Amino acid sequence: MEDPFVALRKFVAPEFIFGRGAMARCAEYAATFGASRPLIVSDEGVAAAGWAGRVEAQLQDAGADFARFYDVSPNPRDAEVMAGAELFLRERCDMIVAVGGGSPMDCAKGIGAVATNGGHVLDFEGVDNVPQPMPPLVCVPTTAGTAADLSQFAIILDLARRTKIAIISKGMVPDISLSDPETTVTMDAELSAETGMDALTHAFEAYASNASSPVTDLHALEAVRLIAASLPLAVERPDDLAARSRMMMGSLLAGLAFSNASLGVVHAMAHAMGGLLDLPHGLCNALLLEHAVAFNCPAAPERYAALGEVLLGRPLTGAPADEIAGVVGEGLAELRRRLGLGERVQIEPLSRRAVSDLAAMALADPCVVTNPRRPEASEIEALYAAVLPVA
Amino acid sequence: MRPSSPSPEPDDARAVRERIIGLGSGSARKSYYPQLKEKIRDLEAKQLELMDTVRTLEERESELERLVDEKEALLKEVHHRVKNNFQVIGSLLNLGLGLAGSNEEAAAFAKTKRRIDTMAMVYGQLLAAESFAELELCSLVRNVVNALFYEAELRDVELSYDLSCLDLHLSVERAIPLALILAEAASNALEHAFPTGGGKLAVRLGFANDAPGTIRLAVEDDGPGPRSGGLPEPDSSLGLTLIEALAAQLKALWRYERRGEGPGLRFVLELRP
Repeated sequence: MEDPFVALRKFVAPEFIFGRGAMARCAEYAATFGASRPLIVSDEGVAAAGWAGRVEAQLQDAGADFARFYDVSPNPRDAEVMAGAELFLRERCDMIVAVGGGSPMDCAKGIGAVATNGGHVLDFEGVDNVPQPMPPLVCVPTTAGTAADLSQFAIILDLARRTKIAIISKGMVPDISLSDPETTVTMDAELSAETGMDALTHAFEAYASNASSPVTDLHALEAVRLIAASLPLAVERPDDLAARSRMMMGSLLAGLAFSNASLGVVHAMAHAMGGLLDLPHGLCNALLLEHAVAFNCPAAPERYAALGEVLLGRPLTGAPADEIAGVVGEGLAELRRRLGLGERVQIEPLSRRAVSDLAAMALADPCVVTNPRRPEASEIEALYAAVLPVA
Repeated sequence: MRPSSPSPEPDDARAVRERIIGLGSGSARKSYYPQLKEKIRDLEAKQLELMDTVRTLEERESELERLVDEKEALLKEVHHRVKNNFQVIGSLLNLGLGLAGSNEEAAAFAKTKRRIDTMAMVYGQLLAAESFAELELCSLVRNVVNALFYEAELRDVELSYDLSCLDLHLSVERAIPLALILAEAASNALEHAFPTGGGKLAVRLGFANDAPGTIRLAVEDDGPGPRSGGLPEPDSSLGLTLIEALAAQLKALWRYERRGEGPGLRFVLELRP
């Protein structure tokens, strides 16, 4: 393998403002981008927590006119994106402000792509299939996990195929992220745990990715360190702003890492599974991660040793692969249990045929190409069987 | 449920990986600049197109102006020739007048020549005004009557005008018959109303008070009136026959009437709008 310090690489990141009060810069950035009518994209939960209203008030105080689109469900659907794009064009909007977690932010990215390029959001599936950049997009994340405010990824649920599609394009990187940790204190324990495990999975998969680089490694390992130390605290003491801030920074760093190094089999499988069963994305990742570590470890033991050392604070470098896999897997399982996320998905058993369809979709997901070990369909099916009941 | 596409082959996978990490073709960072440049290019192309259209329109306009000038020059030339032809006809009639065998013959030539002269004069006025569609009515009336009056050489007859027709214009089609009618009426007066060589001739023009929009033209003398004691009748002479025909052409009414209590005769022509 080529020396990673010699290999040609690039690192794409948006401008971001991080810290308490970041959100208050929203109106200022709307003016900077010359927007006369932003579209606020959010969802009912975020609106109920008061964050969407906060952004509205800031825009109002600045004398800015705006439109709203809050009809976004968890795992945003293609039809929702199309309705949002239709509203964007009808209301003659010229900028998007996304307020919320991954769902409103991914939906906002889809809206932007359709607004400038026309066509259907599913047309942009795959890598670099968004020809024209979307209108300026300002993101105000209210969870610490998705990092859609930093990444070139947008995940949309194709309702007809009941699967999630990935739109991966440099044109999907937002213009600015206003990461305000205060917005995350309104998350309940379950959402905090699921989104936090999503961030940890981003860091793990980016670090283990066959497209990792010295810059992404730096961000990934620091993300693991912050998340390991702060996630249980943030879940157990929701108002602990120090823990919340560390989680949000962990999410941001993991986002920078995976946006540039991409992900792996956990995300490929979680997209297929979350799409079919409409499950929380973070939960799918949390359940699959330790099994994927066991599967991948033989292909990149030194990578998982480094991750394990940061996660658990004990030396692993040089240990045999199966020992590394065991220690790291047990550490992840312990964290998952402490967060109360369960062992398996509690649903009616799936048919073997359904599991094999899921595996085929996971193998077609772009995230699979950067997994350190190339999986066979049967291996994916076995990984699914570890977290899903199969008839 | 159908799975999407088959799992990428290793070569494809490498290409996808290259594009994800931003090293594939078309993996540029989001930039509005190319879009902006394209917009500017579009606008510039549109501007050139518009300038081209303006240029074409300007060329077409000057071409049209040139055509109008040409047509005007041609029209002027035609009217000029018409006027010249009238003068040639006038000269021919003069020659005929010199060769006439009798006084009646000479008078017939003279009257015809006078009528031709009147028509020539209308064309003269058209040419002088450089307007070939319309004629100013007051000037026409003065020109017609003056020409006849000076030719008649009645030094003791006092000619007066009472013309209230500010800026009244008539089309050429109506102006020529009107001029001919006026010439007949004025000639009649000049020929018959002043046997002693003195008297008053008045020409009036204005809108009729009792008929809105109707133009009333009157030629009055203070002569003794027809020897018969009655009023001149249509068909009683070639002149009156002409008046009758031309008035019909103009859809105008005409009549001779006594001038109140005193002596004299008045010719009246009423031209409806």
